[in-house]
Amino acid sequence: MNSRNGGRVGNGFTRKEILAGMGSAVAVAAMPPLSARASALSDLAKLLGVDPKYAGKGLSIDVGCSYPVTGPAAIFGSHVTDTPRMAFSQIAEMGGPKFNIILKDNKSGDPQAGVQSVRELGFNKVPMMLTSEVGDLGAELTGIKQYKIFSLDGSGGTSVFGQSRKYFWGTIAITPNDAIPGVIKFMKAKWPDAKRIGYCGWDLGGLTDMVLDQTEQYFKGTNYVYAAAERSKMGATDYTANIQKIKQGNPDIVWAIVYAEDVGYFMKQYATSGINKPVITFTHTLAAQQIAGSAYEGLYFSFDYFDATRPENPWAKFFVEEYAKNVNANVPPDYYTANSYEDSFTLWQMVMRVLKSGGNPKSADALQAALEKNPVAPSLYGGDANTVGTIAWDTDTHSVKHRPMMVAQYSGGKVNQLAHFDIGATNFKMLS
Amino acid sequence: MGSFTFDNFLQDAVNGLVNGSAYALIGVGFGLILSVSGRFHIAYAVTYTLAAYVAVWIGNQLGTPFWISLLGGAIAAAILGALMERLVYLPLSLRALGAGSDPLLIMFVASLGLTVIGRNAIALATLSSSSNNITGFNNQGINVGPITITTLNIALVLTAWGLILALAAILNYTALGRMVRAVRANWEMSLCVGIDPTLIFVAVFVIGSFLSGVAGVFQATLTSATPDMGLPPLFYALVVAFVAGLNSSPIRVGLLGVALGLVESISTLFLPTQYSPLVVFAILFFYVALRPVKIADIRRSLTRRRAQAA
Repeated sequence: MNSRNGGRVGNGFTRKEILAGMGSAVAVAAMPPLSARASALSDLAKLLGVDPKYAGKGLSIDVGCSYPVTGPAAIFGSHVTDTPRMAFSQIAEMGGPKFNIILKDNKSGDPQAGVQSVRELGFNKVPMMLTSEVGDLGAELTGIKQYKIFSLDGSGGTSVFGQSRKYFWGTIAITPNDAIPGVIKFMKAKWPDAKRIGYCGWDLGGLTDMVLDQTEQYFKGTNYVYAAAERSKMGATDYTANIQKIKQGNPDIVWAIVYAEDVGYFMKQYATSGINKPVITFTHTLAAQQIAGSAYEGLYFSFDYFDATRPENPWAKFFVEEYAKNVNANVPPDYYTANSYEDSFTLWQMVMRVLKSGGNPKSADALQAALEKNPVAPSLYGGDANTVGTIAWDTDTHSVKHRPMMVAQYSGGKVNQLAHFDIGATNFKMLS
Repeated sequence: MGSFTFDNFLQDAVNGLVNGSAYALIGVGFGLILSVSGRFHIAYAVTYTLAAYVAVWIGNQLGTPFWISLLGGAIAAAILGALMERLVYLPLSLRALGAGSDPLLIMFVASLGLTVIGRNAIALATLSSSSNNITGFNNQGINVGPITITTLNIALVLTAWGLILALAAILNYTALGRMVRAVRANWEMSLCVGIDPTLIFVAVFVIGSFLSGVAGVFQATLTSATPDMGLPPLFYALVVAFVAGLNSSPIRVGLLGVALGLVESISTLFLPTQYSPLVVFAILFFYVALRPVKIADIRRSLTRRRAQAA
């Protein structure tokens, strides 16, 4: 039959045309409501102050991402690369440039891998980069300057050793340093009789010395003293000996200045150590919570935490919704993923500013100058129901100058915010 | 570094006993494999790690009690160990012997390769897993006077020593044990009395890997399974096996492991905690530097002097 009528059926459509039509109908039905999304992106563009004239449409820009793809922190590496992808897709939809991610593996704090990552990006003349762990614990900083790569670090900030480094900017508060003044105020209010602090932190050599020295400066004028100062290997899983030494110091409060999954291991072993004093840490991740299980209950933490259950501004709300749709519907974004998303938009902000000033958006010098000229950018943090938050930098140190921070406690399966403050404990406020 | 009080000393001694029992277990297994088969089995780290992940999987998927997960993990380690010997070490060893070369270096390189492949394969296979915790063990802290010990610690010590004593009994009182000792003493001669050394090699790989698996599951229960978890214990296993002596009984190797754990733990009373592994390294260093030459020289010299005095 087909051979006789050319495959036409009924009213004259071919089977191929019918199938194609059905396919299109299914595809349209499966698509999200286009107008709603377009409207949301249009609103976001307005909130972010995007001027379509300088949005960079038609540009193609390479962006390096130096993240832990392998090694102990690989789980974070896989998460933090999802959100720049999402961000750059949204940026393209909003009429921005096409950002091309070039992923490099820093192997979870391996300095050689960090050096190699930057070298490869430099050889390929990549003008900008999202990096992590303070430029892979400092190893990338020389290459960033040498190859002129405008870099944002949203997982470690500048720390102390990455400050004032050319083209390198932190986009997260320095922990624990920026949080400790607020934590001290919180401890005074919450446990007025406490005096002895048991410290367990990553052994980062001179950097750990600096943290200890600086915190002891904060102790001046208070009754606080270190009951024990234990150092652990970065990425350690067994804290039994450290916890034992802390116990021997008879502390009133314990500070666990370890990060990512290490907090989970610490808490898991702390729970059976015979110490029943409160623990304060300076990070909170789902991975650590899963490792510790019930031992995580009651843990206090303080830093610029991104609370996905309570997004503070319309952009943050949009981010959380988009993350659920595009990345993970079951697990809300954490601060690592939120920061890498925000940093992607900050890169775009700088590109737009450079374009507006008639500069070259692929020049690290031009991008840095744009940030120095106006060291403020839109942020997922802070703001209110109608206004996006802002992130502000110190142009001398390249560290974050303004950032909403909190002390919170994980209890009853959720995060309970207990105190709010800004960097340096300004505007400190107890919530309960 | 902790202050030196009797309470602290007691607590560190208990911690040392616990850690030392784990070192004993892996040292006995590693030493048995090395002394009988002559394989410098660095991939011992892989069987240690695999057992932990298998126990995680069994616990999460089947909801089994801890001891079933432990057994499953240890059996998986034993099977992997046997496969490594049968499919990798033995063919390479036979080829090297056939070519008239010493298989030791070839075994070492092969084992290194297995370690790298095993570690990365485990990492790739488990990258997306949300939790690598071993379930089913209700770990509780128990305070006995000034000392705190956990139920997991008690289980580890009892299991480790139960297995070490069982192995000692097997080696001393069973036909398999006699064959293992015969092959350890001289595998070529053992052929003359009808023992197939290749089967005995597989047997010691099964036993040694099983012990590594038990230790790996306990460690992962304390912390969590990670792809790199097998490498640090390998170092301890090596030190225990070497310092105790490759032909020593499991009990002697085990006691040496406990001694090592005690020294390491008690050293934290005098040294910062992060330096305690250096103590273990120092023990190995002095052993290597002194025992084969200097201690023998000293002994010979003393014997000569006594003889002269007599």
